[in-house]
Amino acid sequence: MSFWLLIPILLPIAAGAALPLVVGDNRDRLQVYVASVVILNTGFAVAAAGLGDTGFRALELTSVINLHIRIDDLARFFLVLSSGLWLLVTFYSFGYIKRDGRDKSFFAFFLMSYGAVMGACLSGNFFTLYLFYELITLLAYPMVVHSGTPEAMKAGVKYLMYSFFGAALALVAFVFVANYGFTTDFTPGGVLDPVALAGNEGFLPFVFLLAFIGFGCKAYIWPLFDWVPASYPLAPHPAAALFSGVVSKIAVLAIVRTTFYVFGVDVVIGSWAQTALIVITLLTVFMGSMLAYKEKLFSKRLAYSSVSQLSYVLFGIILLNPLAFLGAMLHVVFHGIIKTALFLSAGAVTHKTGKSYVYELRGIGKAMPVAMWCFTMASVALVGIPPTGGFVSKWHIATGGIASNHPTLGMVGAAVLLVSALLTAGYLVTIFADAFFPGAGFSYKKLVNAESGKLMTVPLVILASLTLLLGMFPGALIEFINGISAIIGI
Amino acid sequence: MGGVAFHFPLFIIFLPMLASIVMPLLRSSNIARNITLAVQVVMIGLSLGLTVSLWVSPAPYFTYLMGYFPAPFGNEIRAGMLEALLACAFSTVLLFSILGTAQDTDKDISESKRPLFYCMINLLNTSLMALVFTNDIFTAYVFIEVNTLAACAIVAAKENRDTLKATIKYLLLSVMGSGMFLLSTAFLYSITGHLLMEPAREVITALVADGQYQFPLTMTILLFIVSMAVKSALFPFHTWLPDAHGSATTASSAILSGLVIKGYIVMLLKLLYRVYGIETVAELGVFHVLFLLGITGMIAGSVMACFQTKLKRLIAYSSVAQIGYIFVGMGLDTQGGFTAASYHIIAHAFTKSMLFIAAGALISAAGSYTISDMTGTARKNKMAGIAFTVGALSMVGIPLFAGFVSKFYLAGAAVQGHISIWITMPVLAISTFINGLYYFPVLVRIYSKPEYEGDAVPALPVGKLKPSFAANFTLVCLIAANVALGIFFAPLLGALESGFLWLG
Repeated sequence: MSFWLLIPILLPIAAGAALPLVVGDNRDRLQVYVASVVILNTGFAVAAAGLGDTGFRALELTSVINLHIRIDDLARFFLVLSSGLWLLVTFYSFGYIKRDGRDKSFFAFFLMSYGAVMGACLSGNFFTLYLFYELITLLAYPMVVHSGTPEAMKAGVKYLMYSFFGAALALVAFVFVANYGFTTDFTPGGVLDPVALAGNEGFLPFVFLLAFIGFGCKAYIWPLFDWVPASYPLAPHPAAALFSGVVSKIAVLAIVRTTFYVFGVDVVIGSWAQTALIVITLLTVFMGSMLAYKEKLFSKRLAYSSVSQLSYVLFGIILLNPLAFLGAMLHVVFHGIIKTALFLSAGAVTHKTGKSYVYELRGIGKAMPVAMWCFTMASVALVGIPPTGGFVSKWHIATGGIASNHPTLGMVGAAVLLVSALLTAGYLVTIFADAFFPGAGFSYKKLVNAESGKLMTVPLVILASLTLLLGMFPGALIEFINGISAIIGI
Repeated sequence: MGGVAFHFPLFIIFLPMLASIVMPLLRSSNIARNITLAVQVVMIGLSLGLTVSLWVSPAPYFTYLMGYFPAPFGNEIRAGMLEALLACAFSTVLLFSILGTAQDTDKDISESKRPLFYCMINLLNTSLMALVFTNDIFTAYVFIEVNTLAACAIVAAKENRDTLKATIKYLLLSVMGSGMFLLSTAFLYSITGHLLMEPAREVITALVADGQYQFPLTMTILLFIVSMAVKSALFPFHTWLPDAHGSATTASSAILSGLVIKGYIVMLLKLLYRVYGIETVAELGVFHVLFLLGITGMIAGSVMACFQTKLKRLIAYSSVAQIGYIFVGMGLDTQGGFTAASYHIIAHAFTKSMLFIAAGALISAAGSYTISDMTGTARKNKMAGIAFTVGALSMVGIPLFAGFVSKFYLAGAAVQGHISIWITMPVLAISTFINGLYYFPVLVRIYSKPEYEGDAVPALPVGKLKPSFAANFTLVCLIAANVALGIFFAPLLGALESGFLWLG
């Protein structure tokens, strides 16, 4: 049975590679093809999540270098989240991506990246995770530089550089674990062999720090987030949404795997690496919010906002506390949905009106009510106003911080979270406030209805209502995450 | 070890030598090339046969007395698993380097000189194989000289100002290296009274145990190291390499970067392990020198590559960094480090020759050597683009390519030591990153669409644009070899490991 797990990985990769052959120059066939592959694959992914804990190995070159595909609760969590978001973004992309001939390559890589993301979710050992992590970097690259302008190419090179630097740091950790672990398969509680390690313990926190920051590159951790503001504004909005909503979550998955399934809580807790990472993540939270607050370019503001929000998650993880972990994982879900919604509504505006600066958006709410309403809902949720999702997750992170083994830093963290929430309100509320209440001098005469087509609005509405629904009824989700933290023993 | 395979090493050395004697007599360059290729195919067969017979034979290696004269007067060949595998890899790479670059060779070298060019390539091949198999230090010296002169000749074969300048630089530094080798050989002979490797080691071990001749012995090792470092372009003795490899015709660049510099590293390995013995070398602290030189080379080569504007020079500087990797592996003084280093010798031979062949094709597609003129060339010559991409990804260390395996095992060996872990791991991460830093912009550029660049694409003669079947076939084979090395590395590593055990 377990080899069925390969299907959600291989199907989109094969379908993406075959796309130019199958589709030819028929644009309608392109949409049907891509849509059916994505729907089918999301079905397979959900079905895979329904399988019991199972796994298998392929390509067993050595005991360390082999392809280990496995499903467990953590994998289920990220599998369902990523495949769901990918499905919604697919339909939106049909409305967004211009039919100019290059859309074929966009969708080909769109599908292949989907497969790589599924592979990362389902990886059962360090090598498989590293392999798919690199694959995501490479396969998603053409989406980042889709516009093909020299600026986009330059941003694309920056994206590649940062990603590979991060991967190189993670590789160091991989080699370390391969030599000092019982195994490199992800095992709750860690795999390191204290006997083999004797004498080199001093290197351990350093390697952990490298792995955390290395994988953290795609989760926008300081000092590796500079590629985000450079590349997101130049990438198509659906691609930015996928990066912010899904790919960054894969980085979180990689970090959770390294922290709890490779190094183990006992190794990390109380080490200088933990302290350093708490400080770094808090710094990133604050910096991201400040930069977003000052930024005038719409999608760049959202990019900085992601920088800040992802470090909430990383902060929640590195506190090594069940409450904080719960908050972090909830925030993975909420931020995934919210930021996808934000980028997609920003995309709807820019796509239709060509406006890309926040001060150009006055009164846009009257022209594009659906897109801006969804933007408003998602913004409110991101700020963390009850009963939306953002409140639940941030509350748990903050309380977890105070209950953790670093109560002082936890207090500081709670304060930083609060300040950052205010800044979030500052940079998001002003946008929709201006959009709906343009002020007395605004002339409604020039206004025309600019609402996007159904392909773009329906995914948006679904995402916006999810933020509200999940925020009001997070019970099942909380139970599931608590199950995971019971397994990993924090 | 009996049977006909016993004579294979001798055939492997003498076959290309015979071919090189025939070459100048030939009028047609095509016949010369075809003979050279046929010789390569036979050599691959012979070395495969040798590998298989060593695999099945109970003895790990055998010594072959030339003319059956015993030790003090005779000359010996010694073949073990490592030598056989290296011969196999080297002849395969050489075959493809000639086959895949025929168009460039025909363009760069005048018709009348081409048989001589192939003569030099065959001589180079002879000397390479002699360095791999010989068990005699003075024979090694002779073939080092042959190798040097032949290598200079194939750089100069493309007659222009750049190659002449590069050749003179190469010749001067190389001859200096040979001089040091000769000096050291003379010292060693006067200390030990032997030129054959194993008898020399017996004397050296005894001398070291007595505490005699410590200083002169250390000096001979250092002289050997420096002379081999100059010839294998280890930083900071690398200055000739980018000029020579960057300006020569594609075939020469591929052969020089992929093979010739490796021949000297193999020689150095033999000197260290077979002449001095690993314990002596470790006691004299020489491994630390190798390690530090290697670490510096890894970083310096990569950093310098970042500043190159010409594609071939970029790849040449990347070789300087890769040689650093090999020396780090040697300098770790562990079996793991040695295995990783010798695997990297083979992996880099395949990868770098592929990169040079692909670069040659991209250069003729662009009509320019400069990277900024390469926009969109991979769209014109698809196979070269793919090969360059595979090579670059392998260099950066993407899993399932050869380069990843080298890095993984090199780092794995480094992580075992208490000090090396702190130095090697960060350096490896940084150098991996810098590899990306110079390869990715090239990759992005060769796949970019030309219309977005301001400068017009130079018009090219249509005939030159179409890559020959042989060139595409070569690139496909080399890509396959790279992936195969990246996936089925376990048996090769096992064989190399056993080679380490019996190298001494």
